[in-house]
Amino acid sequence: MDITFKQVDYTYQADSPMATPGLRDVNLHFQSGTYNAIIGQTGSGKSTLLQHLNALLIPTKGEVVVGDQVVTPQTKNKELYDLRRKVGLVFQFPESQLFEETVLKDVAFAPKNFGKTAAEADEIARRALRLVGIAPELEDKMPFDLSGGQMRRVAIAGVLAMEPEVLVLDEPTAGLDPVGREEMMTLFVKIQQERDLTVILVTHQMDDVVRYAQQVVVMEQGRVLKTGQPQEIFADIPWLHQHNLELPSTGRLVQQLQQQGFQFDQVPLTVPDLLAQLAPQLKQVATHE
Amino acid sequence: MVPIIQVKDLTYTYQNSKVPALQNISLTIEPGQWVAIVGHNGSGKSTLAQMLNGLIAPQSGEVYIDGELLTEESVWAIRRKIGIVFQSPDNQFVGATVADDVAFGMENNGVPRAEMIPRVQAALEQVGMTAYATHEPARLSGGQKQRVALAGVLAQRPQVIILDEATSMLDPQGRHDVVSLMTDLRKTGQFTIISITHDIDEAALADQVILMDNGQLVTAGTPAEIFVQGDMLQQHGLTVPLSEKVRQGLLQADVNVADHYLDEEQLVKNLWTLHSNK
Repeated sequence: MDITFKQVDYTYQADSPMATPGLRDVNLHFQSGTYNAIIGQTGSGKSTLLQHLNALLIPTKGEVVVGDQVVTPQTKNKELYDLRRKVGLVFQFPESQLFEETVLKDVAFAPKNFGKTAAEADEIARRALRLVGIAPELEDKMPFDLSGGQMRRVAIAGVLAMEPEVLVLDEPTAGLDPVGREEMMTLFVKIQQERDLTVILVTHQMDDVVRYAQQVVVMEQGRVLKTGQPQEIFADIPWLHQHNLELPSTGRLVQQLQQQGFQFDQVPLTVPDLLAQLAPQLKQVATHE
Repeated sequence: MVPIIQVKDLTYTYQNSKVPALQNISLTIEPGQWVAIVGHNGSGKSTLAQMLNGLIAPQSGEVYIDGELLTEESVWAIRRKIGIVFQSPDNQFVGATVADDVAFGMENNGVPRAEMIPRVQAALEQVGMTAYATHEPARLSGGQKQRVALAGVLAQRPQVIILDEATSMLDPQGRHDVVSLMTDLRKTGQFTIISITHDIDEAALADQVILMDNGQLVTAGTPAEIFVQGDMLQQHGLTVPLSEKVRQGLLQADVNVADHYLDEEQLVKNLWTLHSNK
């Protein structure tokens, strides 16, 4: 499902002395079926932007077009029912939103709420649970008896059970260990491919952005600072520093190597990239003979 | 020198659990050290931390803090020696203002008010939060909250500071602030720092790294000794620091790079030598 922002402004507590700008003149396009990342410092407007994707917030000015639904400042809440089902939001620490007695009930809650029969809802919930890798024998357990990683998967299944066309992920790997993080990110790719979803990821993990995103959106003070492919965004290290953005993990090392005198044609954004460009510049064991 | 922490054959199984969370853990930590306890989620790291100040009592084994056996009688005195900063910045505030919150621990320990005031000020200064003394803790950023939590610990003048994944929920700026604060505290030489983490870059700053998995102590050593064992770290759910990934990769590409762990600065120097001699 395509999503377009046209000249969107959002003001918190508009028409009051406390009015503070949240978004300013945001123009964006997320193409259906693509993987997008939104980056920027805490307070740059990332969360405000996310909340427009399923109309938790509606613009103060301009319009947001999600599929065939146009959201403007005049849009009424009851018109947004369909849209909210089509855009699934996974918040930070989603496991804190689990509430039902059993895993299956928790995941079946949304489809039931959206008008499915109990049997249909259970069936949808089971499919979602299998997709995130939760085994059938865990379905009757209390969600709170599961491990942290399993709880997070169940919460994600709860969002997938709405059968959304867009999946919005807000820092989905926060607090996980390296293996858990890797598993979670791989899971999202699998879900995206299996269900042909549009993914919008908000993260501070620049390595994930480099690895997965087709389009990167950089936010600063409620504005879109830049959009582009990872290579375009991360090639200019001084620009990233100037805007207080994190580098991919290779960034700091690449910079030290450059200062020492190494040359790179293209700034390496991953370890394999870096090795491929570095190794030919170095003396090899074999050259001893 | 009396070890600040000595753990002997500690075992603990949670209620309703069949597998022990800790199994026969023994370790010794000297005063003034920075020790990183690393391991994936659920490896037993936090259970161990909570045993060190008696939040959980061992089912078998012993904990000695500064030479004193941890018992029901000694636990209160021992808790004054050990402060913990927990993972979630949102779950550890009780005061209406930052200053009240920092004073809370001292109030509990009956520190006279006249002494409390300068100690709160000094602690806030130490973490760079003086300007926020009258602010509401709830309105601070994650990194600021953790610095206030650390000030609350510092105000009690502990000998040991435990940071239980204190940076894992923070944004990069917040993480950076807390880590540089830990580095400053180490420089004072007054504290033993125990950081429980799965952030390998944070562990790289420690004097000693202890690797845990399945409630057991897998291995311990200096960061350099631990980080060269990349396969083992991976096997236990962790990664190696970037400099080590690059060094391993270059070794595989037949580059004549050093045969031991190097931090980023050392690696750059080493590589430049190889570059110049080519």
